[in-house]
Amino acid sequence: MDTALFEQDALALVDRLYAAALRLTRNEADAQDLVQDTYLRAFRSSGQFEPGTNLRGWMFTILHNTFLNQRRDRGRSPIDADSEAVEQAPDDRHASANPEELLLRESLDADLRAALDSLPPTYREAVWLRDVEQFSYDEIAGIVGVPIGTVMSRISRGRRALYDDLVTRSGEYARRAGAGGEIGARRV
Amino acid sequence: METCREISPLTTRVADNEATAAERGRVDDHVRDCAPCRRQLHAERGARQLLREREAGLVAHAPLGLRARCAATRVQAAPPVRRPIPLLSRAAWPIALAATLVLAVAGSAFYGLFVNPSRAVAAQLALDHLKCFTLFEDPAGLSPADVQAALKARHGFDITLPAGRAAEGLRLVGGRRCLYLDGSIAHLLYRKGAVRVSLFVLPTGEKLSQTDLDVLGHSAVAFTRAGRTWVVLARAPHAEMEALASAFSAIAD
Repeated sequence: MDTALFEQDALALVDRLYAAALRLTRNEADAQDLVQDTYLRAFRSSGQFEPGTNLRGWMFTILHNTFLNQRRDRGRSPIDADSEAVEQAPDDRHASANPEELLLRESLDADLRAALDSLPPTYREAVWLRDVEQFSYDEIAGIVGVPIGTVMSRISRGRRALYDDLVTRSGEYARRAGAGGEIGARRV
Repeated sequence: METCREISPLTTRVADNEATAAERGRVDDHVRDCAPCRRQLHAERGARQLLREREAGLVAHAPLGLRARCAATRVQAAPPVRRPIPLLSRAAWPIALAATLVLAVAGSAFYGLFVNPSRAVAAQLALDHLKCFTLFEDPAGLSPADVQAALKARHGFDITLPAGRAAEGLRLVGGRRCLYLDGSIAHLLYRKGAVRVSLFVLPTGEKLSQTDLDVLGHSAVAFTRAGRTWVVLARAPHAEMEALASAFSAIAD
C-alpha cells in the first residue's frame, strides 16, 4: 500500500479513535497519550497491514491492545482484572424496572457519557464499538480478542446496565422537575 | 415455551435487527409471556437507539495539536536509513580529489564562522534547514494552527505562526524545535513551489548582522517582530529572500 495514502487514511480516523480512547481512559490527557501511542505503533507496523482490508478495525485493534499494554505497564489492568468476574456475575436483568421512555430520550449527552463511564470497562468498550462505531459482532470479537458469544453477552448486559442507569438518572430529573428543579435548563 | 436462557442470546440480534425471521418469531413468542425478557429487549433497543441518535454529541473532536503529534509519530516510526558505503572505485578518484579540495575550501570558510557569531548562527541554521527538509518535511502540508499548538504543547513555544497564504505561494510543510542554542529555536518549514524555505524563530536578544547571513550557498534575511528575531533562509537569490522576509514580516505583524 502506498505509504502516504496509508498515513492519510489512518490520520483521518483520529477523531473516532480519540473518542473511543476517552471512553476507555475517562481522562483527556491519558486519551491523547493513548491515541498518539496507537499511531506510533500503527506506523511502525504499517507493513503488516494488508491493503484493501479493514483499516478502521485494524486501528481500533491497535488502540485496544495499546490501552491494555499501558494499563499493564502502570501496574493494573481493569479490563483483564474484572472481565472474568463480570462475565460470570449474575444477570440482574430480571430485577424490577420502570423504563420511562420519554425521560430517557431527554437525557443529556453528559449524562449519557457519565452512564457509559460508569459501566464496567468490558461492557463499555463492547457497547461503544457496537452502537457508536457500529462495528459488526465479528469485527468487535477481532478487536478485543474474545469469542463472538462473549461480545454479544457484553453488549447485551452493557446496554441493559446503561439503560437502567439512565432511567435512574431520568427519575431524579423528574423528581427535581416536580420540585421546581432545573430540568428545563439542562435539557438539550 | 422456550426458556429465558435459550432466548437470551437472541435478544441482542433482534434489537440490532440482525435476527432471522425465525429467530424474531421465537423471541416474540417468548417475550409475549415473559416480562423480564420483554424488559431486556426493550432496554437493549432503547440504549442502542439512544447511542446512535446521540453519536454526534458523543464523538469528541480530537484536539488540534493531537493530530499534528500523531502525524509526527511517522518520523519516530520510520526505521533508520542505512545505506551501504560503496568502496571507492578507480573511476571515483578524481571525484574524491575534487571533494577534498571543496572540503579544504569549505574548511577555510568555516574558520571565519568561529570568529563571527552571526555567520556561525547562519551556518548552523543552514545545516538545520538541509537536515530538517530531508527528514521532517510533510509533503501533504500542515495547518499552521496545528503546528502552533504542537510547538506550544510539546516544546513550550508561545509564538503566533505566520500562516502560509496563497498570495505568497507559501505552504507550511513542517514545524519542529531546532536543537541548536539549547533548543530555544522554533523551525518552520515552508515550500514556495520547488524552493524549500525555512523560517527560524530565535529567542529574544539574539542579534544577527545582516551582512553575514549568506553562507553555504544559502541566503538568509533576519527581521525582528514581536520581540523575537526571525530568520528566513533558502537556497535562493538574496533579492528573493528579501521579498520573502517582507512577506513573512507582514504576516507576522
